[in-house]
Amino acid sequence: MSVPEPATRARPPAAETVELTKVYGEGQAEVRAVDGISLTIPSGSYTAVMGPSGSGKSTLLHCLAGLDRPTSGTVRIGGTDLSTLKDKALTELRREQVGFVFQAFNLVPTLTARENIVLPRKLGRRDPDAAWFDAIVGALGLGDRLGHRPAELSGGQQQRVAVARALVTQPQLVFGDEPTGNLDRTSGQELLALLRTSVDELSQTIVTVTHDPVAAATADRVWFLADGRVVDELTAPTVDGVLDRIRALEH
Amino acid sequence: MWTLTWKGLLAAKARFVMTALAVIIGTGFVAGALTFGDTLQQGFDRLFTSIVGSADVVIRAEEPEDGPGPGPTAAEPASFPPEVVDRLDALEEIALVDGEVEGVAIVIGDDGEPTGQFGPPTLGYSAFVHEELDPAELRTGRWPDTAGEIAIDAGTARAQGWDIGDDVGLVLDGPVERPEVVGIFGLGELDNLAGASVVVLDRETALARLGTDGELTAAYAMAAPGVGEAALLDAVRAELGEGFRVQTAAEVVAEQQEAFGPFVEVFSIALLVFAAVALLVGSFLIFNTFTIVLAGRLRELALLRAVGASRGQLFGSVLGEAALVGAVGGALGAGFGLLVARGLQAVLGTIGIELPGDQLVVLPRTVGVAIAVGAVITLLAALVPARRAVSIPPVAALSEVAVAAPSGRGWIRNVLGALLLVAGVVALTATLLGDAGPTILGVGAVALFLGVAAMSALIVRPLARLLGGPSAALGVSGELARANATRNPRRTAATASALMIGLALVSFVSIFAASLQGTVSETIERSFRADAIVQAGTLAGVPPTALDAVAEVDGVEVVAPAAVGQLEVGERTITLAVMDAAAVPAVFDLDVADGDLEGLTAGGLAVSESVASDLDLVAGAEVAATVPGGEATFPITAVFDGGGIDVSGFLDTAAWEDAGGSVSSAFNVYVRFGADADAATTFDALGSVLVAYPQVLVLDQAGFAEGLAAQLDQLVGVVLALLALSVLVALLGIVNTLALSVVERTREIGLLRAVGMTRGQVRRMVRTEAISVALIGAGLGLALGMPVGAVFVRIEQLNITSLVIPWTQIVVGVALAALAGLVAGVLPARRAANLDVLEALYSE
Ligand SMILES: Nc1ncnc2c1ncn2[C@@H]1O[C@H](COP(=O)(O)OP(=O)(O)O)[C@@H](O)[C@H]1O
Ligand SMILES: [Mg+2]
Repeated sequence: MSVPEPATRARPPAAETVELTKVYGEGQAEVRAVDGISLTIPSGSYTAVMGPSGSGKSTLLHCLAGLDRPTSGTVRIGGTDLSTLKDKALTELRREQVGFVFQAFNLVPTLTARENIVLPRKLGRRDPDAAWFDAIVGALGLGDRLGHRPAELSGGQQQRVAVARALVTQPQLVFGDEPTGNLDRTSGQELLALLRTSVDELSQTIVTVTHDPVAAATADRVWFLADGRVVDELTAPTVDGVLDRIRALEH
Repeated sequence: MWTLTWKGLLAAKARFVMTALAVIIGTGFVAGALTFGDTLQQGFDRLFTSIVGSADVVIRAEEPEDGPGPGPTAAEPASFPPEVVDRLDALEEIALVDGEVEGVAIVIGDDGEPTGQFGPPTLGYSAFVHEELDPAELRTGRWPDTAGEIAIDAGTARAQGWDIGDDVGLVLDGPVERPEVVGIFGLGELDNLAGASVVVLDRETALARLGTDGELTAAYAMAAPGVGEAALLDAVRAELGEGFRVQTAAEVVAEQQEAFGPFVEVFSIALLVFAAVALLVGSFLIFNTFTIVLAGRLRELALLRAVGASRGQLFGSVLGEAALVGAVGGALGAGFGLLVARGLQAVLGTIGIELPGDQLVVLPRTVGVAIAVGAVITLLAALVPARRAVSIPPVAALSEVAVAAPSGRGWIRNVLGALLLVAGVVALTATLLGDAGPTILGVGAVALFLGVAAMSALIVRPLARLLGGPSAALGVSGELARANATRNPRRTAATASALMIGLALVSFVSIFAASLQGTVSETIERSFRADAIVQAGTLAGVPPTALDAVAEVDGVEVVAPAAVGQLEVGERTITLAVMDAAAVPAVFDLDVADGDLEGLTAGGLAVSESVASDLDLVAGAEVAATVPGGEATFPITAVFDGGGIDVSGFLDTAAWEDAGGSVSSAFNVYVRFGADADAATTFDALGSVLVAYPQVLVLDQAGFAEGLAAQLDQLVGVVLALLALSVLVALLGIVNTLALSVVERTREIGLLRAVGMTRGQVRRMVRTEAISVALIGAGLGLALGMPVGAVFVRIEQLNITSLVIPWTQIVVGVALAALAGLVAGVLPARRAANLDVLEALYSE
């Protein structure tokens, strides 16, 4: 299997935020979903995001991925300030530089697995890079499922197709918002292992939200969010380390 | 359950807007047709009442049988000498009596064209001596006293912009003259006699020049004080004796109403047919809306079932919703009907058919019918989706997977559809090969239509794939559009079927009309020997002085004037060219199938093949017919191939008169040039002598054919305009289905946007789907309408000899359908493109 060269760690960061803030509602009903987060995501890294429900994990990812506009602060992906982009350019950035795996409903029901995977390339009116396509399909073990429609795939297979779709453009960054949330434990861990593989072997940069300490421990780094802020960070985490932090945060 | 119905409606009100719109348009057309008919009826009623004015009795000379039809007959009017009025005046039962001359007077507009070509009548009357009896009322000026003065109706004066003191163009019995307008009058509150132009002349001129040879056509009498109606009638009848029709004012009005009743009725029925088509198309839309809306509520329905609602209760609630939407739509439709009625008046007005009725007449019946029709149609259309939706098992509410309504037994539909298709094809083939006739073809067409409709879910897939080629050129938006069009084939099929109906009818009518036109010009070329045709441009016919002028043109050899006569044999009316038998071979080259034309001079009747086959006539047989003067028997001398000639028989003038028919002025004058005359020069010369007669047209063969074609074009235009309404409903259907689909696919669109589909690509995707649906509908419509049209024109009784497929028209039709699809896609596409990515993604 031919796999592209792993990039050196000296690459510029895949993304960074400065004082990123997202506020919903006004006055009494104001919710600071993301409250002044500044962070850097190195290229080729695997980051896990943890935190209680409502802590702003999804909002952070949406802002990072150009799916939502921050109220204030800056998001840069590959050096581009997202706030300078109009809707069309932002859409193109999502298509070319970002991959996203949602918790559910990741696939277009009318398209086959293969068509779903190459969708972002097709939207850019480009043919997928055959070698890369084979590499990700191989890594994700989807070879014999490509002709099936989503309804004919298991939940785990659907999420793997979604990961392949997220990787197909060789984006700067791939985000996962609880991509294993709807899967049973085994399929979930399989999927996270695959994400780890994508970072190690395919040299991708991945940020994913997860509630599973075991999964989080496979990441290079874990951010802990509470009330819209990064309240803690663990590098080279272990399962116990993660559990400790979670317990600490709950008190 | 009623609360449920009500809540359901409120929750989905946006979705029902389109259903209501479809109902509004469909029922609006029904209400419009009814309102139009009622308005017309009232207009005529008022007109007839105003014509009688304040007279108690009206006296006319006994007319030949077969009373006046709609509009004045071309036949010479029955008349009586002016002395009759003096005799009546002497009766002590009569307070006032006045005589009237009615004839034809053609008003020539300032543009040199006669007003109302083949449209409303152009009437001339004498001025009354006793103004009390005059149905007309002066608005300004005075009544004419001498030749060179006229009074004119207010409607015409307004239309032409004429006022007192203007010299205006008028044709009586000779060339154009320019009398002065001295008075402008109305009829009660009406400006005009149903759009007819009315000219009043001084009595001397009227008697001399309205074609009555100095006689009167009617007398109006008012009873002396204290004299009853019966006594008055008795006295008048006793004085006048035989040969007069003496009628009370009420009788005159009733007679007129009876004469026009069928006309109004036919008109209304024709309009209701188009309304029915629009309703049929609308029912597809309603069906689709309910299917989609209910599909979106399946989980809710299942939940209701789970908590104990019975199937029947849910069914009732859904149907209640349908009936309510339908009734409300119908009520609004009644209002929309007013616009439709005005629109119809305007459309007919532009092609010169002006009908009475300024104030629209809206009867409670019209509103009731609109509401009832709306409720019933919607209820019927909702029946199947409702039954399907309520058969959802209660456990579906709890299941995690997407809930789908149990679909009907597809294979039964398809087998049934296939059988219907086969039956339709057999009927078409039978019509084509044998003489199965229009009924079989009609049944076949309906079978084909139902077959295609039943199988359309199957047909849609390959058709969409066919269209997929070009749409794939649009990239992934095109591919997705195709996938979307086929993901729910039955929905796409129902949407497309609505358009299919319209396009099938359009292509059918176009082929029929084009073939008829083709046949007409072919026949004219083949069977006319005349080099020129002088045609009456108005119902007054070609004036005799014009005939003389034509005869004197250098190079003209034969001048053969033909009047129009009508024979009735049973139900069949034969329109005759009544002309000098000896001249027939000089100006016609009839293709005689049976017998010969020699017998025409001896009083024989030549009939077209279509007449002969309808009535089982052969040369040598005799036929008993009703003529205006009574009954007569004619020997059949020839049967000719007459497809396209606008006459179905020939009869010698003398024979017509012998049979009691009165000879009107000529409508068509066939002119043959001498062998050594230069055709172009002679034709030009003919044109220049007839400049003085703007009421006649001079045409060469091609011009004649064009004229006939133009008349047909106008009719086809009106039919197509009426069909356009059902196409409009079908387009609303596309808008609706797509809008609902966009709502249904909100999450998916959010996903597409999230992974990089631009707004433009989303828009293109939805629009492409709209165009695909439109093209599928158009394609199916053509596939149905064209063969049926092509077979239809082969039906022998129609005597259409050439099959013309108007390709340009059909290509334009398809292009318009695509364009319409594009337009229909605009709103749903905009809606889809403007969805907020995150909101869409996380929507339920
Ligand atoms: N569209 C929205 N409108 C209003 N409030 C929102 C919206 N989206 C998220 N929030 C609020 O922002 C906070 C963070 O939400 P989210 O980012 O979804 O948290 P997490 O993904 O960590 O559960 C929550 O309090 C949530 O209620
Ligand atoms: Mg979340």
